[in-house]
Amino acid sequence: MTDARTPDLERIDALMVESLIDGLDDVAQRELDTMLADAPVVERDGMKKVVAMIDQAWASDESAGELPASLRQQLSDDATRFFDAQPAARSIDADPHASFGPIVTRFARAGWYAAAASIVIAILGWWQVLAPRDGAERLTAQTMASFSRDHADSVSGDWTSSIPKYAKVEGELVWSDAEQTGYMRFVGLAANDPDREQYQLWIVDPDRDKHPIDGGVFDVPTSGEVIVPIDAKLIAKAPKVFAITKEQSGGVVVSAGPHILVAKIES
Amino acid sequence: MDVDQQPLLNRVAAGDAEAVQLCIDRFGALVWSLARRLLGNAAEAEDAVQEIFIDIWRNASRYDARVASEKTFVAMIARRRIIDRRRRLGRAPEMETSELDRLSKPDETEWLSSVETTDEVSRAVDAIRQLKPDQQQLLRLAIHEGWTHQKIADHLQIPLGTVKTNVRRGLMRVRELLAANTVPGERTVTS
Repeated sequence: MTDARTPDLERIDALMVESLIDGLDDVAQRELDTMLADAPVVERDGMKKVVAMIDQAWASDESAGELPASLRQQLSDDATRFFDAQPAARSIDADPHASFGPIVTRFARAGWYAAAASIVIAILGWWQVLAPRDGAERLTAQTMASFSRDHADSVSGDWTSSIPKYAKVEGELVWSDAEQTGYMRFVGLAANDPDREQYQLWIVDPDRDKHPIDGGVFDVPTSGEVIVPIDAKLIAKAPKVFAITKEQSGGVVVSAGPHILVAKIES
Repeated sequence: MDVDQQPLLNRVAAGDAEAVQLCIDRFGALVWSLARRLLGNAAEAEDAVQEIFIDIWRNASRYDARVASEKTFVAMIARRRIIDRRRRLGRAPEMETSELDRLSKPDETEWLSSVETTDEVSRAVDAIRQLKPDQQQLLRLAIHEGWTHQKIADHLQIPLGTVKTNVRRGLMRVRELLAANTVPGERTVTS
């Protein structure tokens, strides 16, 4: 029996190429993610692989030169912090293919990601895990509860606002230093038009830097309850405050504020 | 299998500190090169490289040697991060007008003459060389130079839709050629 949901491979290719050259807005990314969920496995990363192979061909003929020594050292320091924050119970597999088993099993062994997120990941495929963008539509409050229960180091904070317009917004966040991820829940945050503006998360980690870490942009499709995964762009060693701003579509590198919502980590 | 014979990324996933350093040494120049080329700004490129390597550490456990080489896996992560960053910044790399003019000439294809020719890279180079000159030019501008579809359309004075269609067809052709030259046992990149 054949699957009635025949994927539009031409449309997948068009969106894939767009994502690799220009990038996709959230609406197009969601369309691609949805189509890929029904596509044959080989279609999901085929075009990415082609472009990656071309990138290598041309990168080897570059004048950019070697990695700067200072950046090389920074990468090494970043890696040390990253792996220091990971669970210690890992071992090298004797079987080189052992880590290629079912993805949920790998997640469970490594313990790097929340179990609920792993289920979404297993459905979407490993290539989409690099930056799942439609998590807000798939996650539930139970995801956060499970995350807190499964990560002993998780911390939390409640959203508050000094701006009257946002004073009635409720919700909280959970975060794990070890996992370098977490989830945010909002109730009553106004839906945004992704083509005009997006919400952006900032993570304040005084131990790391005086500048807040970009936590990524996200959309609120409905003013009801939404759950958003946290995608920190750099390592947050011990964040103390999480803040939300509203920015132009795509986000900004440095925000002029204001912080419409703030969550202080409860000590 | 001996630990040293395992793919670096599998060792990284297991927390092997030596493998992490080897990984930076082996893939650092590739990631740096992509970031410099596609972002065009050294400071932005440095931030991007840091983000990319964090992503590599996070995703190392998902590496599958049957799907792609480690370099290809790293390049896939790198491009995704760089394009995301560029979207956030809202710009494509800037170039002098003279450089734009030079890149707009379809006969400027010497960029393929001295590239590394091994494994997947060799196959990619061979595939690109089989494309028509105008297809090579579009792929060079879109992928190598990091131009957006719109920037290509504006500079070459070609309709945006035509640029998108021709870039996509060029990549599909490369994919077909790569699939026809697939190593036995390796997963193909097309259906």
